[in-house]
Amino acid sequence: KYLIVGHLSSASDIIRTIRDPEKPNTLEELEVVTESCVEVQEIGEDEYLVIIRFTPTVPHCSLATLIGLCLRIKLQRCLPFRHKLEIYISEGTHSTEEDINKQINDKERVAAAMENPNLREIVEQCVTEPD
Amino acid sequence: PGPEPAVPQSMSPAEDVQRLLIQFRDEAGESLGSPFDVPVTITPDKLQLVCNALLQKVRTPRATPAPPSPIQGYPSLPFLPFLSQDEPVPLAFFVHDAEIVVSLEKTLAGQSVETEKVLDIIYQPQAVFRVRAVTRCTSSLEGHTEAVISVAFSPTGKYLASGSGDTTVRFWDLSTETPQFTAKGHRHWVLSIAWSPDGKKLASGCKNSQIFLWDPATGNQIGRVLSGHSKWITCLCWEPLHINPECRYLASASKDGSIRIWDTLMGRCDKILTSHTQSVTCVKWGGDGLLYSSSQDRTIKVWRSQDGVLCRTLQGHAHWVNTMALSTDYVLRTGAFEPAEATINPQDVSGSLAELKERAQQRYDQVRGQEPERLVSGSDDFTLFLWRPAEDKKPLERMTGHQALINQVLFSPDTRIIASASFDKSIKLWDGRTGKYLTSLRGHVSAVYQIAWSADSRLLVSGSSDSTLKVWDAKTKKLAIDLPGHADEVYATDWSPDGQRVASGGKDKCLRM
Repeated sequence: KYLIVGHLSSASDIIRTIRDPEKPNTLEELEVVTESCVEVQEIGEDEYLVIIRFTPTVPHCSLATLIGLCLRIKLQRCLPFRHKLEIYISEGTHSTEEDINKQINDKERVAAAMENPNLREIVEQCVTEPD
Repeated sequence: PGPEPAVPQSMSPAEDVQRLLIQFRDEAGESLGSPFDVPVTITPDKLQLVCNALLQKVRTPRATPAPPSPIQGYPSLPFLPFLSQDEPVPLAFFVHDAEIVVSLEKTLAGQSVETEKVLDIIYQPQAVFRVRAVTRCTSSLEGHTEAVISVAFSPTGKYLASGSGDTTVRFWDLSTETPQFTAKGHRHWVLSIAWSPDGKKLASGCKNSQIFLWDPATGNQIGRVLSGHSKWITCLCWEPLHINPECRYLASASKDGSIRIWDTLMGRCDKILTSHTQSVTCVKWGGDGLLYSSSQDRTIKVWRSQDGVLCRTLQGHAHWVNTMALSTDYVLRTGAFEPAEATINPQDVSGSLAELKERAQQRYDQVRGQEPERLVSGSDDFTLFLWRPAEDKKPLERMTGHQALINQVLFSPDTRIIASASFDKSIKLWDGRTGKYLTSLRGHVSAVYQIAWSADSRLLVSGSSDSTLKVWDAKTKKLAIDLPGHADEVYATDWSPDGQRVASGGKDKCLRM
């Protein structure tokens, strides 16, 4: 049980410093993610399911998919334990949340997005930790 | 009215630019020339011109002017070779530990600079040759019937050998990128391979505790099988070329906790070094007559290679010590071969034994400088330690930050940066002299198994269990090229010393170049 709490706090530490693609603030400052929006469940020996529910700043935010992509990439690279990742928009906070949820959890579309050099550049900028 | 006299372009511009007194110092702290003043907007190019001019004055003048000579790499005062006028030594400049990239003013932005004090600017010679990043897979070499566990280029980059779980060692022809020889003989998985520093022999150790020696030109076994260890071989290391140009002695580390020094000419064991209480994970033969061994018993032991006497035990790690690296590793590996003199078609190093020994000694002295060798060790306790094993049994620095065990550590060939590959998916870069943390290279999505530096210390390639290799730029600390293509985990990575190729092998049994 302590492991789950520890994993939860490392996951929330990792995502809170991701920068917003448009504004100079971090996702935590804009209250897009909070500590309580992360959920960790044990799904097997040493393997955990991490669920993030983030809240875009406005209900028609066009960059919601990009934020979801940044969350996925950063957690994939930085979480030290074996994990399965599910990212959702918190219920009722976006006009097309079902479509966006499908898009940001689709492996193929995530890989295709990261192969696009412009998208990749933006994601890297949002995800790089300041020195 | 006659022609206007040419007005010389002076250094002082029209506006009033702040000027500062600077003093060039090399990495050891020795000053170059006397302090002089420059405008604060000076760029690295101008600093380079000034510094090179000062360096030329310091060099001992030659009786006859030398023709444009082939550039010998790793220049450092006072061993700087004579260079032709149009090819200055590339230098990097640092003030207060920050590199001057755009101009002195920008680097000092925010720092209060007293205009009356002399500012120290440290200059670092960079490797004169540049290695280009590898960008694509030129071939996929099949042949092994089990996972490839280790790949190694010979010291000149002429041969490539790979050891595999299918009990064979295979040699690959680099000009056609096809299989050349299959060396059969081991009866169990080949766990470790090591080239002799003259590139004429390859030693391989297997899980049956046997060591075989192979001739890369024919693929045949040399001499007798070296048996003696009671458990499997974990690591092999040859005696450096500048100590013995015949490359006669080989050190092997084993799970049985002992290190054996073998006389490969007579085919027998010369010395047995016992003291470790658990498996020895890594052994390194230093260039100063000392042998270093790391073990699962959490210690690193320093031995005198002359008589096998234990000198020192370095304690500090809290768990198994997996890997070690010496600051002089790269120059010991390449022996008498100078990467700056590499040709497109790699050749063996020519010359008599005495000449080779002389050259290897010179290269070793240049890289080592005035200080003793430094050793960095990586462990399962998620930390690294930086030691000066010849002098002190206390570590210089404890380097923490990784979140999972460290699989490999490597000094850059110019000894300025230490790279550590960890199971936490990141590679961390540390300062090679002080052990200070520099940056984390993130991009892999799974454990990073092995890394390799390019010969000019500007690029780093890493192979990971996520089946990709990534080439990182050490200057910008960013990802340069992504190399996907392997079908499964990449266990072994190596960059050839002539900088032309990277070889990688892994669980998909395929070697890629």
